[in-house]
Amino acid sequence: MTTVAFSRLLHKERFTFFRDKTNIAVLALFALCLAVAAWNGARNASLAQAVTTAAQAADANAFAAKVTLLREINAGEAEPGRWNDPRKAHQGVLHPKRPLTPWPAEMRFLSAEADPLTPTLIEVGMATRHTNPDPVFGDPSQRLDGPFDLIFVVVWLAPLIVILLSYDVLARDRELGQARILASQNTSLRRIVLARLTVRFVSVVLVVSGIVFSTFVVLPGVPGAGMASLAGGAVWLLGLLLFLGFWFSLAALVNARSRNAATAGQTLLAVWAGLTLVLPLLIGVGAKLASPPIDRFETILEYRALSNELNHYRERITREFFSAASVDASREELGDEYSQYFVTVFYPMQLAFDDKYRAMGASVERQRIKQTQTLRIGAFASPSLAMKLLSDDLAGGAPERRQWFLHNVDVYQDRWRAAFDRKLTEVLPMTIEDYETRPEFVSEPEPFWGRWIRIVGLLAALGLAAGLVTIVAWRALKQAAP
Amino acid sequence: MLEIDNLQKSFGAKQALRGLDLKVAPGNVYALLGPNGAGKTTTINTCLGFIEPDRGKVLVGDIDPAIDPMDVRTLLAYIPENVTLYGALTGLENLDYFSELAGKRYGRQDLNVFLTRAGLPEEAMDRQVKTYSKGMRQKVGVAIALAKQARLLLLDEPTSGLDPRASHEFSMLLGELSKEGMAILMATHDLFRARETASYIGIMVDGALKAEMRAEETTSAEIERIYLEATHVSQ
Repeated sequence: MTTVAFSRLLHKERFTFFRDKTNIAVLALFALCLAVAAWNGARNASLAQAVTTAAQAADANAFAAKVTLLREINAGEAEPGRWNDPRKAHQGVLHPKRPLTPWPAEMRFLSAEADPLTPTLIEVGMATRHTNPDPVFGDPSQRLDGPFDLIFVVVWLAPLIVILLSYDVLARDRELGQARILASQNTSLRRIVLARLTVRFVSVVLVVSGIVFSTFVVLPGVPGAGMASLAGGAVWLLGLLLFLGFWFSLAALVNARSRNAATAGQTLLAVWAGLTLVLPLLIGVGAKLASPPIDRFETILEYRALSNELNHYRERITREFFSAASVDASREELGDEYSQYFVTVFYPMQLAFDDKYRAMGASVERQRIKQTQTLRIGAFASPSLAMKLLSDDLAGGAPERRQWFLHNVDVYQDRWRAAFDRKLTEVLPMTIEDYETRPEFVSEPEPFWGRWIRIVGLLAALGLAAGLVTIVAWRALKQAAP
Repeated sequence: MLEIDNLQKSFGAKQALRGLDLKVAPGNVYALLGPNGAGKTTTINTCLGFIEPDRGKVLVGDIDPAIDPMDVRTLLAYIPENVTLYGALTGLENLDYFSELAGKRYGRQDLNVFLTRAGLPEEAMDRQVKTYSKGMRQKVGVAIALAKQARLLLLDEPTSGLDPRASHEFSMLLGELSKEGMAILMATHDLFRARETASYIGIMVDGALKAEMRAEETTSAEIERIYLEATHVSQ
């Protein structure tokens, strides 16, 4: 029996596919959407980077100016101003806020959200409440829409493109009676469908990966994390292959069963709506029930109540603070009333507030993580949700990343306070060495295993879905009648 | 070339074939006449290996399509009532595509020869098939069969919807192919064309042959009378 080699078959199917102008138009439209989305994400990432760089430069300049002024004061070449005296700790290190940035996300440009869950920049000083109960999420429908970025285009539009390109790979032939001629040749329908879908699969993957990786290389100023970005890119590409593989296999399955192209198209669209809209919505409801989201309004009320309570007891707080520090709070060296206020009231109040508020902030982070964990379990039922969560994670939108960053910020704030606490409470003059040896924040990546276990989990969800549908489609095609 | 022996096939309660016996020798054209639902297409599907018979046997050469469907398909070619082809491709490209599926590779010149032989005008070969008439598409279908170098040709209502000239040209072509030794089984409603083209005519009703005759020994009127009697009895 003479059979055509699969490579020859692929060659022929590629030729046939690209002779159809509709296919080229669909791919071109998809490429355009991807390019616009990539541009949005890259521009956003570049702007965020520019803001961060500017803030860090301003911070460095401000401290350099303090050191210069202090040198001049010490040399008798300048007089300290009332509001600009670098010798006073409350002016030199209590008020300034340091710009802290998280470890860069591997593929930040996938998202065009201003802050994909984790803030790009936090400004932290000795007395700064940095944890705010901002975006609450648990409902994937809130996470699935959003700006026109690569996450949106790949999770929402790519399956529709797959459907447009492959809803009729066999059903149309069957409808027109052509499948009988195809089946009467020496090549099985299964091989023909496999070749057709392979051509489409490779075309779509090349378009997506070409544009995404051009964004890595071509567009200037897109921040990444060096080699980690490449690893992240490889993981995302693997996820993309599985995600697209799932949709192409589904197209094969539907084509194996459908008598005409319209029915095949409708069936695929219904499955798309189910897996991309309805199921994630239901999973979101499940996540809400399993871990009720923190209410932003209630949290603000709680925050205010805490603030009022502490204000009510502020004298006691001041007394207890200085008693613990063995410092006489009534000393005249404290200077004018402003200095007295910042040292004896403001700073102790902030410490007392943080002491209580950190626990509250941490519970918000934990709840957010619980919700996302529920979504990740649900992702085993919806490849769209799995791809969305995977892309979010690589773009920096995992709540664990946010929690880790805020933990690092807390640690840094404690270091900053520890470095200058004595200078402030004992009203000791700041020295040039104090400024020059000030603690610096070093952003650290998330612990390796915790990070990659959740990535592997999402890849497993995608792999399982793609694998199951491929096996079922393979069997169905074997039995497919012309 | 084709032997059908006591072929039986049911779809649920409906018995589509009831012990069909039929032979088509190389160089013969066998026209299978019969009303809708007589079992003509089921017979062809069984020969192609698309469906397995409940009882009985089909042999194409020495191969049983129920056992080796892929091997059988190297020996036969099939042309349905509507050859739609791929509209975005030219006639030449369609022929090239189907030849590849059949495991044959030809150069442009060879493909041209097959299309010319099938009667497709030279100027149409490089035009997209979506601009073709039904007759032209049927000719590409014949070229596909020629390029496959099949020894048995199965035709399902091949002249349905063709104008008289196109039908005549098609009949002439089948005549030429049969003279070259190709065996042809043609299911049709067209009594006149069957008489003109076939060596043997079988009238099939309710899944069985009711009458069989040599075409040259009968007239069109005679065939029509037998056909009407056979189908009337069944109704």
